[in-house]
Amino acid sequence: MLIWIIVTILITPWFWAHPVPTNMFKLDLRSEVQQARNTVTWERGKVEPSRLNTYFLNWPVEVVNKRLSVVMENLDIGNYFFAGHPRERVGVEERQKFFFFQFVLFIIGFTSPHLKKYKNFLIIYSGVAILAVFVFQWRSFEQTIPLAIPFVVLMALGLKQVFAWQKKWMILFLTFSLLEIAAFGTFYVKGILK
Amino acid sequence: MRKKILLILIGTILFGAFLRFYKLGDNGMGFFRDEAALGFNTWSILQTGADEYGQKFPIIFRSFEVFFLPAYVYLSLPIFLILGPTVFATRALSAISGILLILVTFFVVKELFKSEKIAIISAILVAISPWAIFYSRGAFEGNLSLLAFAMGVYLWLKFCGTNKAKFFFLSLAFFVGSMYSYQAPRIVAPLFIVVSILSQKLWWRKWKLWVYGLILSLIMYLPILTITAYPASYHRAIAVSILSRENSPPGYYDKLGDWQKLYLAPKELLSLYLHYFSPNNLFFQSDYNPQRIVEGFSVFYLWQLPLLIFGVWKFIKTKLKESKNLLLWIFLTPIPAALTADPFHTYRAILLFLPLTILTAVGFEQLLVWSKKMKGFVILASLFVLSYFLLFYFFQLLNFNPIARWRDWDYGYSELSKFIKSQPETLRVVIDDINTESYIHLLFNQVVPISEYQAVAGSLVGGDYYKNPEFLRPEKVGRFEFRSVDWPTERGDLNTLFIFPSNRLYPSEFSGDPKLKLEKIIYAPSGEPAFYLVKTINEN
Repeated sequence: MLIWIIVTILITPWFWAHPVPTNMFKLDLRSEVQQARNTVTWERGKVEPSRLNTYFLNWPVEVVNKRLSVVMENLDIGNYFFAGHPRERVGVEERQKFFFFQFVLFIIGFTSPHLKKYKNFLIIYSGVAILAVFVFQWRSFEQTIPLAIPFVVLMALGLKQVFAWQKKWMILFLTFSLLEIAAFGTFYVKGILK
Repeated sequence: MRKKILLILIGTILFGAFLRFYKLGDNGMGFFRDEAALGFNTWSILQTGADEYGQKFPIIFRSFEVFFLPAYVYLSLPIFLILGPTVFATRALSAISGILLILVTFFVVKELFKSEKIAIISAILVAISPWAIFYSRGAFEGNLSLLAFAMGVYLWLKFCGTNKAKFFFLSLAFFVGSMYSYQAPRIVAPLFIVVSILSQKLWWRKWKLWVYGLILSLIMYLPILTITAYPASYHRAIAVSILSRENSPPGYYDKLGDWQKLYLAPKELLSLYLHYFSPNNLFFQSDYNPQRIVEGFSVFYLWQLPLLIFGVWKFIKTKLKESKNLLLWIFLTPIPAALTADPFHTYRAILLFLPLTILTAVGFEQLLVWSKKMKGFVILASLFVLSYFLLFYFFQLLNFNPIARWRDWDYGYSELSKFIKSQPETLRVVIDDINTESYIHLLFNQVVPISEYQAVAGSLVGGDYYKNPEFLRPEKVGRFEFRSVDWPTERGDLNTLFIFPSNRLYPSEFSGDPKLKLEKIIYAPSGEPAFYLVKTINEN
């Protein structure tokens, strides 16, 4: 399994850029709460006065929603496999993290008979990672590298499965994978993509 | 059906009806031009037998060169006969479709899973889901098409279960009906039928049945088939399709050559397709178009995300006999939306949300199984969470959306029309409108006489109603004009009422001029001006 993980890491564009996580644990709750209060004051000023305003328009909801938006961004498929397309985010540099054939490996990984061995690790790690994203609002290419781990594990399992296929299907899949790598590599080498 | 389930179902339908009809005629946001087009054309057909262009009983409606399909208009005729041309009447058919969808969902799920429990949970989720409520509370033909498509699926499942030909033919009727309602099923319905047939065991043994079905479908679809060769039939699809777009796919680098399209174009298509399954879009970020957003909500409630995951897991584990039908429904329905360049267009993908809702119901049922010992607590907690989010949704929809989204919903034309009607009939009226779309509101509110508009619009289109997809809307009909205003030049025109959206002209450009009088400001729900009505003062 280690070999499959290493191979997966080697073919992952995310790691080609040698991302160095920075600003990982920045937290400014006071400023966030103040911003949320300001937003809520504006919103409450606009709607009809009502008791319901307190339940639905309040700063804790604003703060949680802002963090949830970052968590949900990180659950967006386009973020990982299509460089943010078609809904590129404002304020974040969108870059290719995985190839599309790796998405196929990711899905195949869920069907792997060896998944049970890694199930607990994947669930706990993913939960902790999502919690960390919620707390620290990781968005950038470098900050979100810890989120690559569950993907890599599942893709490695998927890759192992592919090599257990019938030869003709395995060769077909690998051919398309290599073509995608070659096409992307051309862009990469030409310096169009970082 | 057990009595308890029946009572819950009736209660769910009544509750769903309340959620859809409450303040249907006045949601505070306005009345969007597409709704006005549906409503006016219905009224026009009822009054004159012709649409806004004077075309007698059109097969496809040309309005705004969108060429929308006819079912919604013709099925709304009885409603307009009773209620007249009102906002409520225009939206009523969509609301009724949304209510009937609750019932149809129950039967579809019961047929699919043979479980009244999952069926009733599905019905409840459809009754309270944001997507179902939103599209039932506006005049959206897609909602009607979803009802017809769901009914088609139900009858197809009945056919698969009983092998009775009548169910097959009835299902075709509803699938064709969905194709008369909205553009998306014109791709999805035929694909669904063909793939479903081909996936049957020994399907070729029933070849006679399939051939009779094909003949029946062609006969039912004949009116639209007669204009297939004309742009009216395909113009809309081409206009929004990424395949006919002039500019290159994203990531295209000029110096690398056209070979890169082989890589970039499929990649773009895949990204658009998978976008419709992205948790971020389904549960948080919502539609890209502000007109279809309810602040803070997306297609589903956030609490439905874990339920959907449970549902998918359970569905894969169970390997149901008819699971392929649900899978087909899920994987085929985003195709029309994915073929357009717009990211996450919820309306075009409306057919997708019902099967996902069904999977969420499966997930909830599984949750109840896992928490058998605490079932009562789980149900109570769910009701509490459900109530909170439903109340929050309506709070946003009826209180906050009017403030944030009034401009996207064309707020103000009703009041504007009332004012124009109070003015002398000799007054020239010019609406600053670069897209020439505001005319539909004046037609709907019966400011511009139907026959007058039909005469002018009809003369522009001539015999090319289905053939010419170009912009052929009149900018001037009698004393009314709908066009971009050249204010510096035209401010001296006599006996004229100029109407400006507040983002097109600022008070500094007309205040202080003795030859101009600000007759009225129409205010938006947010308190800011929506329209300025400026009259030129006649010289003696």
